[in-house]
Amino acid sequence: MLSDLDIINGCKEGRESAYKALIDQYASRLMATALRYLRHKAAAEDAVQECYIRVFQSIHKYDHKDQLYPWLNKICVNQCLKELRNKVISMQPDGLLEVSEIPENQMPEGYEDAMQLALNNLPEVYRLVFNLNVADGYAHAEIAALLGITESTSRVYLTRARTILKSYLIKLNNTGYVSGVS
Amino acid sequence: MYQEYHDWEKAFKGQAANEKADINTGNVWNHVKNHIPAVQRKRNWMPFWLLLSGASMLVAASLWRENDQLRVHNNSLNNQLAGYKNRLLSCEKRQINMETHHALAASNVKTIENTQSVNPTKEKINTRSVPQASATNAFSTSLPKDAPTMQENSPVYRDEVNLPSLPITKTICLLTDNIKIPGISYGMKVFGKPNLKRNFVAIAPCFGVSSLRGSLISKDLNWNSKNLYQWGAQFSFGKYLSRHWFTALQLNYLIAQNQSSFTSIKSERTEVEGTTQVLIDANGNVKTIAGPTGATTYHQINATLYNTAHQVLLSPVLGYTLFKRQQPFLSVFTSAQWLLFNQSSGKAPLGNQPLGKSLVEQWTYRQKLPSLGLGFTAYQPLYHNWQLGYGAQALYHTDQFSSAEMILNRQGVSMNLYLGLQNNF
Repeated sequence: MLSDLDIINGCKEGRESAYKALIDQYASRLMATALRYLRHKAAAEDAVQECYIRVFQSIHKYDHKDQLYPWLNKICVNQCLKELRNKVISMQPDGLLEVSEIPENQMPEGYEDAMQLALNNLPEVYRLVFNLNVADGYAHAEIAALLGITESTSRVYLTRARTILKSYLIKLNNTGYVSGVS
Repeated sequence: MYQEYHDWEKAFKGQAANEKADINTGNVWNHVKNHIPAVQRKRNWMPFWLLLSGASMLVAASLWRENDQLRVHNNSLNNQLAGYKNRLLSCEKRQINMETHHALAASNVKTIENTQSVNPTKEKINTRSVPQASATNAFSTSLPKDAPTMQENSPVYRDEVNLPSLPITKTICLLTDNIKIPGISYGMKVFGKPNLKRNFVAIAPCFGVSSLRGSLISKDLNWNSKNLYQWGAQFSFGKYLSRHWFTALQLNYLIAQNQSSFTSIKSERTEVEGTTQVLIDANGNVKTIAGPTGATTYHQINATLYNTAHQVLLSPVLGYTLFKRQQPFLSVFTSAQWLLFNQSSGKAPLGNQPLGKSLVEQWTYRQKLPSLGLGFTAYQPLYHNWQLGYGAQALYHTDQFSSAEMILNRQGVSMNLYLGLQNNF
């Protein structure tokens, strides 16, 4: 397993093995990130491929100051948002998701899976803001720039997303789910 | 409940950081391997700079050699002049001797004439015949009592005076004091050696304006960046290669103010279920038909942002100095500036993105080529070896802002004015 420095230097020198190592070591993590945003496997795979193409084109400018994975992850997130921009993202959230709206046969068995399902069913823009802030650590100013909204709107969306998820958690408890989180 | 939610969010965050998903890496590799860029050959400037250094050294060596030859020539002329001086002194001494001899001879003639009046049979003595022995009594004006009888046919004796064949006019630089030879002028021009200093140091605050600018225009982005003005200080250490040519190493610290104007246009499509048609029949009944309806909203963000770059630059300088009364009067010079260090503060180049910790590393700034400059400095003597230097310098810059996604190239000219102190030593 090559170190980040070996991979970067190898890529800068044009060694094919270094490029391949870059894919072998990080593709699965980037795929998880892409799935979190795009939710469809085929679209996530396309995003990961596009992400790697952009990485290949710009790795010679990489300056070793960052760790490699956060840089890759940022490019992957940008690529996913670019994919999403091509689709219609409703900026008017649909309202609170009801537990009863999830079909019986799709109800997950575990507590965490249920929460994940609730997260995936959040209004698109709420879900994006939540993922960007909580999962990937973006600041509201950065989110605002990426999504073309104001910083305060980003804060409001995150608060609403949390409110919905908390409400969903209450409903889950009321319907007999037991928290798996200690 | 809230604690339960926070625990879940914390667990979700941890899971997201280390989450992996299945992906066929071989498949990904097959798709992207054709996009591996050809290895970009790093521009190797070493041969160019070696060549330039070699040429500079040759010029310096030739100037040094010329200077050395002049010094040798100067020494040779000096020795020659010292020889002339000795010969002239010798001539002067002999001239004095000759005058003394003439005086003595005239005295002898007078004595002989007096004797002839007593003994008119004696023939007149040749007044030019001077015995060698009488030279010892050159300053005696009276004839000794036992003066030798002058022989009529005694040989005529005189010292041969060989005057050196001096040039009529010749410019000779002397390292010694001027020679004063009273009564004799050979048309020599004699100069003292200029009191030249070989090195100098200078420090000067500077201020300048720039027309350094670049634009990036795409379908949803219009980004203009320009360098407005800069100020700072420069420190120079220089050495004269010859009387006029000098080379110097200059260290500049500049604070440059950049302005970025940013226009981003993004479109958003909003669709909701709503009334798309209203039908009124003949009886006046109103019927509505629902369907997807929506609108496209365009968001335009305009921003003008400023950031400040702190830069340290190193410049080798080659120049030519004109002297007036042995003091530097005016210098013209050319230089090349390398960026050693750059630190930006303020807003990131891309408009409304703040310089957050996560983004600051994403943007890089670099000089594309060394900045080439031309300038001049005028000098005013102050005290002793100190001088006031003031002048201007024009530089051609090329630089680049880049992130993983976009590159903005800028180029242009900046003009700096400076006023400082120079010490020659």
